[in-house]
Amino acid sequence: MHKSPFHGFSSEFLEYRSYTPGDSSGRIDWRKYAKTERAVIRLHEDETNLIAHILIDKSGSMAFSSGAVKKFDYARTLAASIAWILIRQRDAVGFAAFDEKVRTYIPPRSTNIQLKTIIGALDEIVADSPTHCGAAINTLAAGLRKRGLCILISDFFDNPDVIRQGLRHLRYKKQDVILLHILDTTEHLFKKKGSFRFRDIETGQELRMDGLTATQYFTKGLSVHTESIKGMCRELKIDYEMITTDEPFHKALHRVLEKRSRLL
Amino acid sequence: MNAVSFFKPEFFWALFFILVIILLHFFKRPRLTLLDFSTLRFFQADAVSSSRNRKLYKILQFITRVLAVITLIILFARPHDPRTAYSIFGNPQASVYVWIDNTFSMEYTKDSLSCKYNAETIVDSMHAILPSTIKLWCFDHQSKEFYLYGSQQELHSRFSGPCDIREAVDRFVKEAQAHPDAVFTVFSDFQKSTLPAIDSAFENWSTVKKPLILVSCTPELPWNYALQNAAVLENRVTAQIRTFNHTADAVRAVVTMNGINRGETAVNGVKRDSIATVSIETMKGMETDGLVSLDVNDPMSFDNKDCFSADHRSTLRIDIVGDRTRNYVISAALNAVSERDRYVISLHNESDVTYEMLDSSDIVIVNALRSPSRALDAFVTSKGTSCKSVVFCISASDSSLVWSRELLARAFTDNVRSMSIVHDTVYPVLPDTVSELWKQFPSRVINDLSITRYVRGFSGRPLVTFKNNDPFVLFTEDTKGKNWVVLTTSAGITDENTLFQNAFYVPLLDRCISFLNQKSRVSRTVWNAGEKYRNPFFRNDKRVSVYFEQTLISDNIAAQQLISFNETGIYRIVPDGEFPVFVKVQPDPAESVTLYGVPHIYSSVSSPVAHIENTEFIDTVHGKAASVRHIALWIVLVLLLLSEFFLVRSTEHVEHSGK
Repeated sequence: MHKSPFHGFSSEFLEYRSYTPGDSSGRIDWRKYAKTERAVIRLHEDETNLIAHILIDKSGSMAFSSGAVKKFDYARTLAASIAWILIRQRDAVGFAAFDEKVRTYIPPRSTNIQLKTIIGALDEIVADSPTHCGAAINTLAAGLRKRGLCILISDFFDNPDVIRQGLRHLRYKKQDVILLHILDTTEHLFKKKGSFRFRDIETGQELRMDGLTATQYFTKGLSVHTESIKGMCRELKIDYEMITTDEPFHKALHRVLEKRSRLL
Repeated sequence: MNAVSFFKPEFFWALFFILVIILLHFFKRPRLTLLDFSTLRFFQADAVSSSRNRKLYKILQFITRVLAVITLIILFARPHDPRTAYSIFGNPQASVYVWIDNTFSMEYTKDSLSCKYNAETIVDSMHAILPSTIKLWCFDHQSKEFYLYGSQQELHSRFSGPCDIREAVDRFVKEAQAHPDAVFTVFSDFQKSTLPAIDSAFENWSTVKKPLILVSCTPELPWNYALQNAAVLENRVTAQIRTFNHTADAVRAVVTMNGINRGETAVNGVKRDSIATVSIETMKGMETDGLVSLDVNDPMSFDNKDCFSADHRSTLRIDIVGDRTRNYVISAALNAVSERDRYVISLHNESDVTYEMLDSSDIVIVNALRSPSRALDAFVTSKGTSCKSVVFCISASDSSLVWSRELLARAFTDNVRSMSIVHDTVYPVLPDTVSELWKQFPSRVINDLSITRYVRGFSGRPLVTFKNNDPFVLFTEDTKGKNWVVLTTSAGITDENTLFQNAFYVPLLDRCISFLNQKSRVSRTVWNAGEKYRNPFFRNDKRVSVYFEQTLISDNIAAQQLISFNETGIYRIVPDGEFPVFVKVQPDPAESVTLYGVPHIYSSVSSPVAHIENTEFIDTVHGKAASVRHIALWIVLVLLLLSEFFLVRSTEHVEHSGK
């Protein structure tokens, strides 16, 4: 998931470094000095001190499902898995669920009980509110004190400018951000024929439209929206990954981790 | 009456299917499905209007298509104004009777299309455009009946032959009684040789009071070559080439015998409208029959060949009516001169003879009447079908004169009242050498022939007189068109004269027969194809077979009063055990003449007669109003299709703009 940015006192050797004045003489590897007559210091990898936050969108749009799996169910499974991985790495993991605002917040801890707490929270929350993820991210970013990792899971059906603000805020707070864009299969490959009365499950607003027009407009709109999010991710050096609900969960996770490990 | 009617209203049944399509369209309209969706943020306001526009365009497209189909149905149903359309036929419920000229001249071909074919094509087109309310009847030249067009597989009889418009008109007059809106339509080239028949057929048309349409199929700038009068003498074949409106150059005349080329010659420099004789020396062969043909591509091909036969004889059927015992000498005398022309002579008593026998005869000789004869009465009072010649011998005995006078009174109303028997001995005088009957005979008085009784008072043109200037042989014509040679004394065995005992007897009878034969102008050896001729062997005791080119075509024709042959060529008529008679069947030579005219009826009667060129006929049938209406409908259809096109484009535009 991540590499420790600090070199500490652990048993896992990392590399040698030349002795420089000011270093403690106790850290000099005398055996190496005896062999080479060069004063070097052994560096050891610090095991952890990462603070990660998993942020999950619980807005009504995440409750949409065209098949067996809701976007929200997929998202929280993904969140739980990532939390498990991080805690196993002894990282401190925090959790937040948001819609218009931050609704649930669990501060970061690296204890095993933290995983249970997060899973319990994931189990309880319901996706049923209007979206305003940009503002919610902004609020969350404001509360962050230390640098760390933020994993943001959402469908991002919000104003891209507001999302940009939130993300920029996170980056300002020296957060390494991973953005997981969850879409339903139908949203990703929208194709409808016939006449429809579309009802927004968040707001209850209705529109009458024929399938062909809806397909054209939705496909075009989503494409523009996604490109906009991707563009801002590139700009803010944020890892972006689109995941659709028809993709097997383990494959999606593996793809995310693999990409992450390549980038590190 | 409505302003617009439809000729094929049955097409409106198709509207039912339109209705079905409309109903299906509404029933199968996609139902509005409620779909809970994650977000509507991408469906902007213009998406909704675009969707509405698309729906509107779809509805407009559907309406346009339905209207286009309805317009097509209307076009097929063919609207018309009943007050003007097809006015040429009087009204849209007319029965149109069509006669297509069946003469050979209609085979005039230009650009590979004959006049007859053009006429038939026009009738086909007419059938296609006419509404079902107008019945189209065509004349069948074989059965001489009108048949409802489209009811038979064979649409037109291809038979070419003598003009049968008389039969068609007679049939039409009968049919018109059942069809008050009947119209008679004539398709003809109105060739000069056909015009008399047409004029004759329409002689009493004013009494029929039916519309008559004359459609002219006359070719433009007609020309023709014709080969006629082919004959053979030893190894030399001669024939005449006639040119009409054209000079003949580089034309080959070929003699074919038994399918083998026996000689040919080139014909050059024959001026237009002239006759040239070609002579072709042939290879020696056993054949006596053959064919001369012109190797040329002229518009009329039927007259480019002519048959010849070296061994042909003509026949003349003579029926003698009266006392058989007195008349057999006439039979014997004629048999004595029956070398050149074969006389087929039958003797009949007054009671034995039938009308058919007399009507089918070439010449009827009446002599020594002893009683009235119904057949003779009918014969002299009717026009008959063919027999035009009578030799009538007035017996100068009281008993016989009664019947002779009665019979003559039926044919000549004013000619018989002053007839009386003269008891005087007279001698015939051959008055001069230029007399019609007596050409090339020396002028002399025949003193060894005494006539003691004769009849005076029958008027006519004297051919031979007695010394006292009373007529001995007279010629006259009756009102029915028959030619009569009347002898004022008996010609058989009689006590009135010594004629039958004299050498003058045989040439006298022979001259009378030849004279009448010339008057009737019927060549006995050349028949016109399709024309009916008297059967020279009618009621012959023996079986009479007919062969055409070695093929037996009829087993026995003795029972047929009239016979006709349609195929041109040499026919062989063979009575059992006797010499055959050869008949050359050819198209009527008059059909080759490229002269055309207009029927007299066009300018002579008060009945509505229209004369139209064949190229304008279909347009005339359609009527200009119908054409304009059709054009308007086509414009509407085109506009609808254009609308459809633009709607499709607009729909695509809406779709593209949405992308």
